[in-house]
Amino acid sequence: METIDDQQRKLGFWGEGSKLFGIFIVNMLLTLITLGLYYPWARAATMKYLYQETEFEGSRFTFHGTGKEMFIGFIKALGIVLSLYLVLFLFMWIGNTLFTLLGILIFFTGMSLLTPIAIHGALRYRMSRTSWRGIHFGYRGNLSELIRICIIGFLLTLVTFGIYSFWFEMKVRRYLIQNIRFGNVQFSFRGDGTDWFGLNLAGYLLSIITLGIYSFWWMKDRLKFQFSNIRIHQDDSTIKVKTSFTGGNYFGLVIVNGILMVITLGLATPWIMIRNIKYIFDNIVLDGAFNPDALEQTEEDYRDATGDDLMDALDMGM
Amino acid sequence: MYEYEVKYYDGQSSRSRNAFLLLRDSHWQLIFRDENDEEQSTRWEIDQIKQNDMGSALNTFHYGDFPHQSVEIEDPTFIDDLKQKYPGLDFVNKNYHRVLTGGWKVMAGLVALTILLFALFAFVIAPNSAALIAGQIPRSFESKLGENGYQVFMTTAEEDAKRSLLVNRFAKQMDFDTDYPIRITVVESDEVNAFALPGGRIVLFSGLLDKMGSAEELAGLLGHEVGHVKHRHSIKAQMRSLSTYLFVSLLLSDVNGVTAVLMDNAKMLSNLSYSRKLEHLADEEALAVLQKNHISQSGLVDLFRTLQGEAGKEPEFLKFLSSHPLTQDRLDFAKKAAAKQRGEQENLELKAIWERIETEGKKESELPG
Ligand SMILES: [Zn+2]
Repeated sequence: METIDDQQRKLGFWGEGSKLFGIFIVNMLLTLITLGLYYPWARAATMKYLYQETEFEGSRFTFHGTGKEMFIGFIKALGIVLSLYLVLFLFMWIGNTLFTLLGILIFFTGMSLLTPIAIHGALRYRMSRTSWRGIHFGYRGNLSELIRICIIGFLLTLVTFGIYSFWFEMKVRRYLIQNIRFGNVQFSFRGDGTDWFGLNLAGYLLSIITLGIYSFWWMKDRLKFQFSNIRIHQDDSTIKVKTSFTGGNYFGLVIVNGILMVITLGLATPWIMIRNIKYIFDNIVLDGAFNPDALEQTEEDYRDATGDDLMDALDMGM
Repeated sequence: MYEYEVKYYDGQSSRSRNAFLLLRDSHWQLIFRDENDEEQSTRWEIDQIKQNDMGSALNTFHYGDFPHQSVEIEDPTFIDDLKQKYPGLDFVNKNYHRVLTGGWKVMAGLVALTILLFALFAFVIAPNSAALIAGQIPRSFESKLGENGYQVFMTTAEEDAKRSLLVNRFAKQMDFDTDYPIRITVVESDEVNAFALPGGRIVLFSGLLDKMGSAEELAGLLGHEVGHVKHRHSIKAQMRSLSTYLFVSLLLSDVNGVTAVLMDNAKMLSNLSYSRKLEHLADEEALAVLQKNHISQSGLVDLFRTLQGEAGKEPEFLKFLSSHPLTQDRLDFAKKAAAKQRGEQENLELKAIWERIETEGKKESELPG
C-alpha cells in the first residue's frame, strides 16, 4: 500500500452511555454479591468495553487483560500496601519516638518507591494487553532508570519548594512515552518543563485575575500541550498530533457535564465518561504519513497486573 | 449459511486480509489469499477461540496463544448466529451481553436489584458487622485508643487544673454504675461543648461549664457523657464509619462514580440517624444516673435549655449540634421524665462543690488578659 504525505487520521469512539451504564450495573451487582471479589473482573470489563469501541483505520482496539490476571495483581498490590501499613503500625505501637519516626520513614520511603514501581508495572501491563489488528503495544522502560528519575525529581522538587515539579513531570512523561512501542512504531514527547511551567503559571495568574473564567482556557492549554507534543514515528516518517481544543468547546463540555451530574445525582457518570473520551478524540488529528498495514509484531507478552492494581490502589489514573 | 466476509490478521503483522469465515461444527475455517495471491486456509479450533467481550457493531475475535491471530466481523447477526450454531457455548460474556441486549426491562430490574442489595449492605450488613466488631474490642485496646486520642487533643488544649479537680471531685460523689474509670478534664475554650473518649475520659469545655447554672445540670451532663463511655458509643460510631468507608473504598472502590454518589448520600443519612440514636441512649443513661443518685432530672432539662439558648446565639454551637445533635424531641423526652420523677433529694455535698466550681469560674473570668 502506498503512503502519501498530508494524510490525516482520527480515532473514532463508538461507546454509548446506556451500554456503559449497563456494564456498570452488572459490575456493581456482581461486586456486591461477591463482597468485592469481583472488582478486578469489573475493571477488566469496563476497559474491554472502552477499548473495543475505540476505532482507528476501521479496526477496533482490544484489551486482553483478564479479571484473573488483575485479581492476582490485586492481591499482590494489596499485600504490598498492607505490609507497608503493618510496618508503620507495628513501629508506632512500640510507642517510643525513635521507632515511630523509623516506622514513618520506612513507610514513606516504601510509598514513594511504590509510585515508580506502580507506574512501570502498570504501563508494561496495560501496553502489553492492548492490541490493534493483532499487534500488541509494549513498554520497554527500565525500572531502575525510572526510580532514579523519580528520586532525583522528588528531591529537586523538595528543595525548590515544588517549582521543579513541572520539569519533573515532563521528564517522567518523556521517559514513559519514548519507551512505548507499537510494533515497529515508536513514540516521543517533545514538551519541556519550562514551557509547561510557563503555561501553568500564566494560566494560574490569569484565572485569578479573571475570577476563574480563564481556567477553561488554561485547562484547554494543558490538554493541548499534553497531546500536541506527542510524535509518532514509523520508519522514516513522523506523525504529529494536531489538536483543536478551544476554551469555548472545553467550557461547553464541562458545563454540560456539571449540569448532567447535578440533575441526575451522579447517575449520568457513564454518559459523562463517554462525552469526555469523545471530546478528546474529536479534537485530535494524527497528521502525517502512516502505513496501517506495515506494523510488525515485536513486543513480548506480559501478564503481571500488580503494577496496574497498585496504580488503582494508589488512586492514580492513567 | 454461516459464511461471512471478514478481515483476517495473522498475528505477525497488521496487514489486513479479506477473508471468508465458515462456521463448521468443530472449528472455524478461514479462507484468504496470501501475498503471492495464493489461496490459503486456516483452521481455528473452537476451544481456543478467545471469548469476545460484550458484542459491538464490529466484533473482534482472537485465536490461540500469543501472538494471536484475529478476525474482524461487521455482520450484525453474527453474535446471534453463533448462539444458534453453537448452543451452549459462550463466545461472548453472557452476563454483559444479556444486559446490553436485554432492553429497558432487564436494565430496570437490575437497577432495582442493585439498589436493594446496596441498601442491605449500607444499612444492615455494614453497620451490624461494625457493631459486632466494636463489641469484641478488648477494654485495654479501648483505653489505649482513648488515651492516644486524649494525648493528641491535649497537645493543643489548655487545661483548667483547678476546675478539673473540682469537677472530678463532683463526679466521685456520684454513682455512675460503671467500672470504667471516669476522668474529666476541663479545658479552657469558648466552645460550648463536651465529649467523651473511649475508656472513660471526658473533656468538658469551660465555655459550657460557664453557661451552666446548677449542680443538677452538671450531673445531667456527666450522666450523658458517661452514658457514651459505658455503651462504647465512640468506638461504635467510629467502627461504623470505618465499615462504611471500607465498604465504599474496598468493596466498590471506584468501580464508578455512581456508586460513590449513592454511597455518600446513604452514609450521611445513616450517620445522621445513628448519632440521633446514640444521643437518645446517652440521655436515657443520664436520666437513670440522676435517678440512682436521687438528683433532680430537671438538671438534664436545664442543660438542654442552656444548649438551646446557645443555639440561637453562637455559631460555635453548631459543633455541639454535630457531635450531640440536639432536637426538640430530646428536650421533650427529658421534660416528660423529670415531671414523673419521685424521690429526688437535695445533695448538699454536690451543691457545695458546684458552688466552688462557680466561684472558681468567676475568678477565672476576672483575671486580666
Ligand atoms: Zn452526647
